[in-house]
Amino acid sequence: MNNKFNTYIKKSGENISLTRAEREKMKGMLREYMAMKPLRTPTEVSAEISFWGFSLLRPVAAVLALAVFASSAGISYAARSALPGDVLYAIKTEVNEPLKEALAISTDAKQELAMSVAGERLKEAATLAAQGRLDENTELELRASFEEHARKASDNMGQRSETSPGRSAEAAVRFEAQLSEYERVLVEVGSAKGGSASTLASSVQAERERVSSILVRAQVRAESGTTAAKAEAVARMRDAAKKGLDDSVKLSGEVHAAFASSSAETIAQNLAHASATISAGENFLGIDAEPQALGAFQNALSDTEKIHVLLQTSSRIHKSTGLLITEPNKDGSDNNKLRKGNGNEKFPEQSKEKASLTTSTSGNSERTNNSETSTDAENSPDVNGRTSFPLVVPISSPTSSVSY
Amino acid sequence: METKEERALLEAFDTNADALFRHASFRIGDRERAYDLTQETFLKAWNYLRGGGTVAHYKSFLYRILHNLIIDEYRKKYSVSLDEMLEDEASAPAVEALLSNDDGRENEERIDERVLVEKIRSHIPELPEQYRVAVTLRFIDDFSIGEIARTIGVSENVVSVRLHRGIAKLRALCQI
Repeated sequence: MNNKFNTYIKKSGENISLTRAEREKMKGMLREYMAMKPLRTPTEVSAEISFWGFSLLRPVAAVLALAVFASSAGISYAARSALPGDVLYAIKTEVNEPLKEALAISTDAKQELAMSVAGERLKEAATLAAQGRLDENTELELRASFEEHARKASDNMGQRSETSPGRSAEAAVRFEAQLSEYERVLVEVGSAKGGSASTLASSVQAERERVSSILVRAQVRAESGTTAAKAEAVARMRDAAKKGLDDSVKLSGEVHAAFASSSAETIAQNLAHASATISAGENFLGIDAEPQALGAFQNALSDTEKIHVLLQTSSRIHKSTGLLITEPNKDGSDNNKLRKGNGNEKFPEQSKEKASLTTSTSGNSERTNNSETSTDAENSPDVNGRTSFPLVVPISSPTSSVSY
Repeated sequence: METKEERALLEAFDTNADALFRHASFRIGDRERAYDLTQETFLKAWNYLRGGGTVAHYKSFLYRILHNLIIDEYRKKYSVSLDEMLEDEASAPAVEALLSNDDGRENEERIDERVLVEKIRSHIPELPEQYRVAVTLRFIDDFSIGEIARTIGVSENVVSVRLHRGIAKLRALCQI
């Protein structure tokens, strides 16, 4: 054995170390974690701890109370994208989420939170599936939690479909769109990886149908309302659509690295289409065609919600697996090159066009001309002008190079 | 108000964090993930201690946790089958035979050291995982053969063989 070569091997590992800041951050995190989860001693198990008038019998509850009233911002923050199986997942579901629930006072806030947590379970499932880590037990647990929160949200919407149909309809449009996209993503990621998240996907479908019927109820109720109430409902839907578009455009800029450039183009097209739909809605309002305006805003809202879900989920998958989201080849076969992002993928022209994508608030329509973005032959728009967006997660042998 | 367990783990952190991070970085080639895994190692260590476990030697304890995390990471990131993770055992001796002549020694002295080190670094990911583990633990972490054996759970003989073949393969990849 040539010893000189061996010393070079040794040398190749030099100069890799934590920076001082990184060390301190990690050590701080460790300290906080140890503080949050103290050693269990036999005497603690049966001790009664009085805290703010509540009697907490078990140390687990004591830790929760401690977490709620003390600030462990670092741990909580680090836990936010934890997955089942990660050490910090318990913090996410048993500390962060209950804390948020305690802070959500209004019915609106509770509903939004329930929708958000339900969606979080689905993002977790999709990320695990993309990693090939979604086993049966985990899927069942995620499904149970998803159903619990989705049901909470839809019950809320159902109850309010009588008293505030406009509000209920807007929320139902959003939730239904989100669930529809999650369902699609789960099926695609599941099939791309050979496993499947089919139990969860069918649960999502069931919830979606439930929300769909609540939406219909709310819409029927709204139609028999006063003129003022109807106008308010249209305005609400319009504002939600605009906000949805803004959020999605902003997010698309932030997560562009997760997409292959062809996919990025498709997303940009879809955003442009949603913007055009909102403009069409404004036009309808201009000629007092309220039902058509409502329909347009509803479609746009639904589309932007779907895009938002796709962006968020793809970004998560990319962050934890490094895989890029791409599309199948023209002949329908999977694109089998591992696309490791180099950070250069951009949404074409969108950085300049962002300003034109957000519709003006003055009510005048701004027709945006997006003919610069080329259309892929295989992505022909469907009847409604939307381009369907297949999601394929390619896997192959690694070609990564070691770089620091 | 630190308990003695907390103090022990924090001391183990001071002693080992850097080395663990270097090990992870070298093996998976992704600095950010290496940071996460190193973090996760210590949090898992704490969970173990919390559950009443005792630790005699922190270094090997922590390395074992990290090693398992890296194996998981490798599996989920690349979805390779176990077969692909193993080198084709049949061809390995042939590769070794090609290099046993050692007239590579002359070439090596002429090559710029920096270039060689870069080459090695860039070819490490191409080593089959089993070889990569042995090479990393030996040369980056300075583990003895015995320590490597205990960390990854194989016999010392197996470690020696993998080490030998790993170096031979690496040289072949670097064309030395």
